[in-house]
Amino acid sequence: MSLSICADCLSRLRISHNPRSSLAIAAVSLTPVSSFHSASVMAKNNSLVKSKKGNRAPESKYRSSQSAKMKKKTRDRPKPPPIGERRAQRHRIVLSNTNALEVPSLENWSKENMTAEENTGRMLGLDGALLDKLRDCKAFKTTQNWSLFRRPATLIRSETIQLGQEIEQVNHSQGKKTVRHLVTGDKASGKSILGLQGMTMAFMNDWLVFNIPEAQEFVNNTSSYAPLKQKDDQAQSEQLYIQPHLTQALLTRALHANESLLKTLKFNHEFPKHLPLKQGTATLKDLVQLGASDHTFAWPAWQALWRELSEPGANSRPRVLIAVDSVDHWMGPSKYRSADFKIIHAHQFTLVRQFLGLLFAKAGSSPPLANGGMLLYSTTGSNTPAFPSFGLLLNQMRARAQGLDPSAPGFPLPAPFSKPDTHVLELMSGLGDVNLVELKGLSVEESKGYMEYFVRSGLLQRPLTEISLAEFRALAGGGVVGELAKLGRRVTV
Amino acid sequence: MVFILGVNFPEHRFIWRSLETFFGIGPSTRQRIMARFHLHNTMKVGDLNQTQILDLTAHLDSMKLENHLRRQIQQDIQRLRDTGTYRGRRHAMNLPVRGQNTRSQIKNARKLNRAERF
Amino acid sequence: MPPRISLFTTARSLAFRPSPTVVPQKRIAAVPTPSPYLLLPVQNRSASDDASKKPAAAATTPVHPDFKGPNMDQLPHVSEEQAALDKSMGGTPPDIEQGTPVQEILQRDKDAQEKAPEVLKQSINAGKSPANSTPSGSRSFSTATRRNAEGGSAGLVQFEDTRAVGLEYPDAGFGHKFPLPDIAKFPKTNNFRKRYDEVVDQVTRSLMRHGKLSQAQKNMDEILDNLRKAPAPSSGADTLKTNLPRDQLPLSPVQYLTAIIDSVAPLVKIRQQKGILGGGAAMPVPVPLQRRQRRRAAIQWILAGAENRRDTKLAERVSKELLAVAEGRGTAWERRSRLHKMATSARANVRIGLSGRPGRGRLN
Repeated sequence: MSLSICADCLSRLRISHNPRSSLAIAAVSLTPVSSFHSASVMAKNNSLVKSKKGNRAPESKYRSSQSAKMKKKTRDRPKPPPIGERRAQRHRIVLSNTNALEVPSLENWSKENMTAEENTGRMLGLDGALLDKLRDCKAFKTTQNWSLFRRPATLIRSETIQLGQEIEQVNHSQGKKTVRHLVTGDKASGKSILGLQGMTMAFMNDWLVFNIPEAQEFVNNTSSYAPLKQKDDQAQSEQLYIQPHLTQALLTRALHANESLLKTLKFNHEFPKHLPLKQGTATLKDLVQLGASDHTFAWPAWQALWRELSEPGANSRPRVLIAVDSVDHWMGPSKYRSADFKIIHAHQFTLVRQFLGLLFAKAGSSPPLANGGMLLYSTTGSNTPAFPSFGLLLNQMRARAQGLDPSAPGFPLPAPFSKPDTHVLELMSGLGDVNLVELKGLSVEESKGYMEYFVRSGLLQRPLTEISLAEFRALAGGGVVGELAKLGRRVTV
Repeated sequence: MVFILGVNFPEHRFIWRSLETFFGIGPSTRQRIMARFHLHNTMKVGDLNQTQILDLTAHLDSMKLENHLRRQIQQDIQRLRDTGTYRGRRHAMNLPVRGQNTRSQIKNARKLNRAERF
Repeated sequence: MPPRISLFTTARSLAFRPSPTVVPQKRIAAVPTPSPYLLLPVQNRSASDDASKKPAAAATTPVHPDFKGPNMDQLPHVSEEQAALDKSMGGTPPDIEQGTPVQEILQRDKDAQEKAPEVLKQSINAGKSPANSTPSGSRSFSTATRRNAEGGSAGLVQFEDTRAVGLEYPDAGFGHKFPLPDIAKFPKTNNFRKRYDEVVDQVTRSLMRHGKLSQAQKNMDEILDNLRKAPAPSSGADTLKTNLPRDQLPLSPVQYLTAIIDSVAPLVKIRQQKGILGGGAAMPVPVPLQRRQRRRAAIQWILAGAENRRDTKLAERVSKELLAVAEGRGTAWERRSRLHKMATSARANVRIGLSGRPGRGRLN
């Protein structure tokens, strides 16, 4: 006689919640079948029973231990926030605080008072259209205290005025004048804000603005990269890499910030055939939009755009501002690896190489921009990577600024037995035109204007006297603007 | 869901994490594989395009992974055992193979070293 | 076959030493009661002593009357000798009781003078110099314990005015360049231990985990900033007790924080007094709290409420909970009202002492 129990799964041996009903099932299933496999029959009968008795507790699909006491306590895990929300929260820029007092005498910063020297040490407000553009090109940062005041305003310091004057000069010069600045300074000394001010003034003058808010993104292995296919004749000594998504992001920022300007620009040159654009009617906006919409088109679109901007043609080109923040990260090996697992140097990325080539242009090379403009690169003080070769580069620039000749004995040179980064050393030949802007603490007038703004906004509830100003300046390391800002919102009893 | 080497991975999972689920791929191997196909660190499985998936699967196919690797290790130990070597004997006795002291800390060897390893 | 072992030789090779016949002294000494042996002259002899040489017992040894030991025939003391000499020569003998100084002895004994130690020779030579009463004073310092007040012939120096002529500072006190600051005008925050507001400090310390005060201060900064940015609490909630108008609260975040915490702070705590009711039941006794204790209770409630929030940042959670409490929501209010109800129902348990004041441990 064959067993009535399935020898494999022994399912008949199961203890049920309800012995009577299971007995009934057993009786039903036992009588007609002398089966080898009872499992299917069981399942069939179960389903029968289930359909008959609607209110019965559903049988679980698989065998489980029947002791109710040992049942694991189910923790109701709260739903995590939707994808991307936490990141958006982290990067959100708030530009106003309705609780703060309105500063009645706050003037707007405009093209007219851009270079007025009497504004030095005053806060000037940024108005609506400019704000949108600045926001679109990611000029604001979360670490800056925009969210404390009623409306965004910025301190005009002497460096700002100087920058404005240079922009004016570029505007008035007929030639292709390009001003190159490398802004350095201590932590919280206002380097990024100076970049923002430069962008603001560029927008005021209808310049085209390209901004790279965080240079570290290009080297920390968090974005896509691919080797650049080069033709044999222009093959370089080392493999170059493109970064499609970062190029796309750059084009997106440029598109939103400069949309009205790009719309008016027609093509001067023919663009590659594989770009899905109408030859003849397309404007540069269409080109940028194409690159911004699809990362596969981003790199060719950027190349075409750059050709339009750098090579003069029939149509005139606007002046261009390129702002790069925390450029130190581009001065050493990156976190990326090549296909044969070699470390890729930052200068092997096409965009990095291109932007650095603009700043450290070799003497005698053709002017990089068709109609001139400004390059405003700044270093970082809080997240500085340790790249000694770049430190040497900066020292050399300082020595040049002091009028020291490169052949003079005191000129900084690489340490004799060190292995300096050859990529960075190559930049040294192009130091001639770069102007090093070293940001120090604010002057007394500037710090007075800045702290007064805190008092008027109701954040600093303490009369501002000469003594207290001196105290603030002393506590802020001689008027370092970021430290002053911290003191301005500090609550005292 | 993305199918890599016969395994389905959810799209939101990091590639590095998915790769390291295979027996025989650790951090070092994973980095090399990812560098080989130019995949960056924060890439998710869903970001792979079809050719990349095929390339990756083909590369993983060429590697000795999972059961092939297990069988290989098994065979290696068996060979040591069959040729009557000291190492084979130590494997069979669940003792350290490479001359470690056996006075106190040989928990892992007790657990892992055996002639029939898997 | 002869036996292998020669019994005789083995017997000879054995170290056989008969025990000494003389009873050891130790044994005698160990006898508790004085035994007749002790009265006898004891032979002090241990087992290691050479038995052949018998010790010469002093009492029993016959001594020749002319015998002199090595120490017995010594010259008399120089003083005695001098005394004897003077006696015979008819001079005045020296006083034997007092002893004679060495210098005197040397003065009359040329031979001894030459053999005298160097120090003595020097002192003799010094004695020949005229001023022999005082030391030469070749030492650069004085070894005297007391300074010779009369010695300084220059007279007493008068320190009356340290101010230099021509540097008069009329504002300053006597001898000072600048006047003392008016300490009464200093704000109390000038003391570095009391730099921050009382409530802010207490909340900061409550936020602190693992002793990371700096981290807690950063969080506190952010919380105060959030209070600054958030809209003012709706005027409908009359639970917030503050002197400031509501729309001004965000601008003064410290007062805002203080108002929130002080409004929700409980007045009492319930102490479960054991052993009064008997049967293992504890008697709830409401106990009034000090100001700092009240605030602590409120802070703990607010932090507990913040832990149930789902924001990623601690500062966000806490500031949202604080704002909820300011609006009259939040679990802290429920806990407060529950506690106060319990205290009201248990108020009969507060025992007033005979003096009319609450009993021990329930001081107001």
